[in-house]
Amino acid sequence: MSGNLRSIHARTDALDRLVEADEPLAELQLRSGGTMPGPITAPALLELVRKSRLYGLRLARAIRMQDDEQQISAWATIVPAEDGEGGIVELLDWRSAPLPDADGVIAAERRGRIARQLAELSARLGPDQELLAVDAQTPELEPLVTRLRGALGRRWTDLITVEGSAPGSTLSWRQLDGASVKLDGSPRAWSAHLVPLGGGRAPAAGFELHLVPGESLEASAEEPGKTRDRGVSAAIGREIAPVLRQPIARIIANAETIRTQLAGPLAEEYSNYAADISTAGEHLLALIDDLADLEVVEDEQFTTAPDRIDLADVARRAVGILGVRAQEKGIGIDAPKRDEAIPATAEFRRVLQVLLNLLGNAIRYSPEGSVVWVRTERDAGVARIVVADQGAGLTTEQQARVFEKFERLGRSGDGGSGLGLYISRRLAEAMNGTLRVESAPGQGARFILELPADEGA
Amino acid sequence: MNDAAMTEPGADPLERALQEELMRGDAVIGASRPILRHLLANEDYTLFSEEMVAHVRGMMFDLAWQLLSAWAGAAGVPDKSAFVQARQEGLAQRLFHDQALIGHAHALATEWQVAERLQRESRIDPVLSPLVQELSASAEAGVADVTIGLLAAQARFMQAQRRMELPLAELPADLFHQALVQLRTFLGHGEPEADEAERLLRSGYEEGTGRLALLARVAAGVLPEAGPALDLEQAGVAIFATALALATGQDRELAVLSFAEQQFSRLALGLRAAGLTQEAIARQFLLIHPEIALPGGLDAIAPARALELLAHSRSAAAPQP
Repeated sequence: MSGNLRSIHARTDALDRLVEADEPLAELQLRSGGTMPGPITAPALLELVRKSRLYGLRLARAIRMQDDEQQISAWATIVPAEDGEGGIVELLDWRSAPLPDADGVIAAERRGRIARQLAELSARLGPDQELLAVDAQTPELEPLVTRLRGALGRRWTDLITVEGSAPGSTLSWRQLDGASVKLDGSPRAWSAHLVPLGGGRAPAAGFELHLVPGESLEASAEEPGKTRDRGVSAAIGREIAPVLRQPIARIIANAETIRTQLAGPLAEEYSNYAADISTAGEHLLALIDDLADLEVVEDEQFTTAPDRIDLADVARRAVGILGVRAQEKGIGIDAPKRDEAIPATAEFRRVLQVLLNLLGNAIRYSPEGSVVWVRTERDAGVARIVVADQGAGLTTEQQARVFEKFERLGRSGDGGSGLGLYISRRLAEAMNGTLRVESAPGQGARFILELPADEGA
Repeated sequence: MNDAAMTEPGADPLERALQEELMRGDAVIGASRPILRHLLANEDYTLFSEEMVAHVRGMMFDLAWQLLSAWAGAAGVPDKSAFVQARQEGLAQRLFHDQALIGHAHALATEWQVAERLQRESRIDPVLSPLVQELSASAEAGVADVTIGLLAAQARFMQAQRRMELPLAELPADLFHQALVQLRTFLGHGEPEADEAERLLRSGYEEGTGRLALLARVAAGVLPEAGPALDLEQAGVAIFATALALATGQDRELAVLSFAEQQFSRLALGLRAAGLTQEAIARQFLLIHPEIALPGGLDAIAPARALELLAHSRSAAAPQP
């Protein structure tokens, strides 16, 4: 039991502030950004002091404290003042050791290894992040590699655009690690990963730079705001959705059995609870579908299977599917007439999905007794379908936001995920079409889907 | 059948009293089978044996007796023993419902049971382990004093456990406070002398002289070279449990409960998290769980990972307040 045998004394007041303290406690207090007198900065000590004062009990415990550089352990005894106005702290066996950075080191190593595996372009950088050597594993990046090799000795950020930073700025490697970058000649999203070399000593002797396509790896955990745009994990559609669908479907089915009192008579309130469960389950199912769709439409490789379709026919089917829900709300739907036909080139089920979303929104946000119009038009080379409602309408500012991901325009609790319109627009664009809105507050909204017309028809 | 008709107001008071009593009795009978079944069928016999239950009950009765006596002494109650006797059962009943207190008592009883078994089977002295011997002969003044204090405390602990007692002064500060709160609630809102009595009890308390504090001090003192403290044969059960708790950030109670039959994964992970090798863990297992074949490959789990696994499941295992 070696260590500091001298005992360290300190005094606290009725607000658990450190009033006096011997070195090295005083030093720790100041180094951690505290003042003297001032609130105790070490959480473990503060907890003990507070407890002793509140309980009026003499405490004796091992405590651990740390600042940026070291970890300190000590044996603390606290004697509360008779009048409850603070206490006397005595610390024995004060030992300090450099902070074990094991977690950080291991995590960083793991990150480095993953980046090395996934990188399609790797470079060796010098201590000032200047390029020393460059290699790429994909032909797509060959032109870039050639350009980088012609610029050895220059800072890599002079040649590769880092999103959110001005060209030529000299960010530290920590700030750049995990950043999104734009590569000339590549449509894909990339992220940069820097691995410092030199055994963890600062400053680093140099760096490995790895450019990884797609999701930025660990950065999502650290900077949720930054990666929110592509933050949905790719596992949802492939792995989670199928697993979730079945139990949720069972919940809904059982709730429906209870609601409809198939298994026996039931007090009305319980039947209502069951209805709530069933509705919530359906919302959940819809959300899973949305998230799975989101993942699909955000995939770089996402394409649709265009076919010759009749927009008016798709619209009539969508109206047929949602007709009952509209009726329940007392909303009339004015669908394209039977004899109308608007030939277009698009994928049938994707167009249906977009229309169901537009119609569903119109029904959800329209007042009772109003009418929703579904109109089809044909222009030069364009097949158009318009869903117009008599709802509250959207301000210009809302129109700008309404297609954004997770945008709810301040609504909540109605089961929407804020993904529908975002997905719909991505689908429209994937079919070489557009989806936009025209509206004014109080004037209802017109959502306009335009797709390439089938000129051959 | 209609419940309302059976408890019709205005019925004979005696009849009503009997009826209420009957209902209470029925509830007990109704609950007795599941409880009994639970006790009989429980897979982990060490945690819920009759002996354990009896120990916890005994400690709560003892605690109630001490609380009432100390309070009566401090408040200057004239007929102290009558005062205590009239209330002991009631207060004990109240303490049975205090999860923090019974959890603590349960962990102590478990510790004692393991210590007794290891003394019987493996000749590990629960009081004077080789490590305690070594430290009590230390040239450093503070170290020897603390260790000799621990030795005495440890001897008192083994004796108290045999008698199913839980000395009030041995409670950690939080539980001491908790026990006083229970006492105050049980006695009802009192007069000024009640406050004074409680103040006297509080000012007489000294956490640092308790066995658990002394253990923590000794274990924390030798922890940088955790080797001997995390070796049962060297340290004895008590220091071993404290060192394990310190090294893994677990509550000491939880560390002690990891000695129980069904808790060997927690124990293995805890020892691994404390940095022990497969071979060292196997040695400890041979003492605590001679019947269990320790799975190989523990060395492949990094201590940091073992710590993560423990921390991850802790929220579920931590005794609810």
